Amino acid sequence: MNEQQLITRAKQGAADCFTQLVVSYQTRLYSYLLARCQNSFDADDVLQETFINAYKYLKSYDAQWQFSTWLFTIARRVLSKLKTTYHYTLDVLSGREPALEEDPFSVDKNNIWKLIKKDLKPNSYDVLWFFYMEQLSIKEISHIMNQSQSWVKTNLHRSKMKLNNNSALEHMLEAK
Amino acid sequence: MNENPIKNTGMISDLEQQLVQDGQVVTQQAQLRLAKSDVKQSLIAALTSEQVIAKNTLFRPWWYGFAAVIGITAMIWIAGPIDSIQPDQLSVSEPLDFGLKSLPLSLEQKFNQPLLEEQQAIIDDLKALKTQLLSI
Repeated sequence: MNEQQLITRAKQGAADCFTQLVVSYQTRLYSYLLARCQNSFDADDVLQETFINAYKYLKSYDAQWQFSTWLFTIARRVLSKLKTTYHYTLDVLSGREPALEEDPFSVDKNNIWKLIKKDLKPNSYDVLWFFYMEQLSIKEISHIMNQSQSWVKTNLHRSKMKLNNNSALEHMLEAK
Repeated sequence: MNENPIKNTGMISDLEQQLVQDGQVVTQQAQLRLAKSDVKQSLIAALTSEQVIAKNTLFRPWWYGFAAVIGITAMIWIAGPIDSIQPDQLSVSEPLDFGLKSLPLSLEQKFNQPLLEEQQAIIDDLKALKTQLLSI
C-alpha cells in the first residue's frame, strides 16, 4: 500500500494504516524535535501530541502538500504551546544550558545545531532545519512557517550571514 | 521542480556541510531513542484513551448550537412579550435647565449678524428665482 492509500484508509478510520504512517515519519519528526527541544523528554511529549493531533484532524489534511509538511506544521503548533521547550530568550539572557544532566539523548553541546540555538530565533532555526535536513522546497517551508516564500528566502539568507559572521562557530568549523 | 539547492547541487559551504553532518548525528540519536522507547505502543494507548474520552464526552460541537437554541427559546418564553412604550403613555416633562448663560448681545450680534445677513441674501435670491420661474 502506498502513502496516499495509507492516508485514505487512515482517514476512513483504519488505525493500523495510521500506525504505519507514524512508523514512516517518526524518525524525521523526532530528529527535528530532538534538535529543537531542550531535552528528549520534551521531544517525546511533542512527538506524541503531534501524532495525536494528526490523527484527530487527519480529515483536514490537504494532499497538495507532502504529508511530512503537514506533520511539521502540527509539530510547530504543539511546540509553541509547550512552555518547557526552547526558551530562546532565557538561554540568551542567562547564558546557561538548561538541558537536563541525566538526559542521555540530549544533543551533544558541540553539535552545530545545539550551538546555533543561541544565535538564531526559533523561526530561523526551523527554516534552517527544514531546508538543510528535510531538504524541503521554499514553497513547502513557507507553508509550514505560514509565511511568504520571500520571507523564507530572506530568513535563510540572513541566518547564513549571521552564522558565517559568528567567530566562535568559525573556529569550531576550522577545528573540525 | 525542486527549489532546494542542497538537492540540486553539491556546492555547499563548510557551514552547510557541518549543518547536514551534525543533523545526521541528531537523526542517529533520534533513531536510538525511538528504538529504546516504543512510540508506537504509547501512541496507540494514547489514541485509544483519546477516542474513549471523545466517545464519552457529552459536549460535541453540535451540542453547543443545540443548547444555545433551547436556551434562547426558554428565555423568550419566560420573559414573555417585550414591553414597548406607547405614545399615549409618554408624559411631558419640564424643559431641562442647564443654567447656561447667553453670550452678551453685542458679541452674539457680532458673530451671528454676518451669518444672518448671508442667510437672508440666499433666501432673497431663492425667492427671486422662484418668481422668475413662475413668470416664464
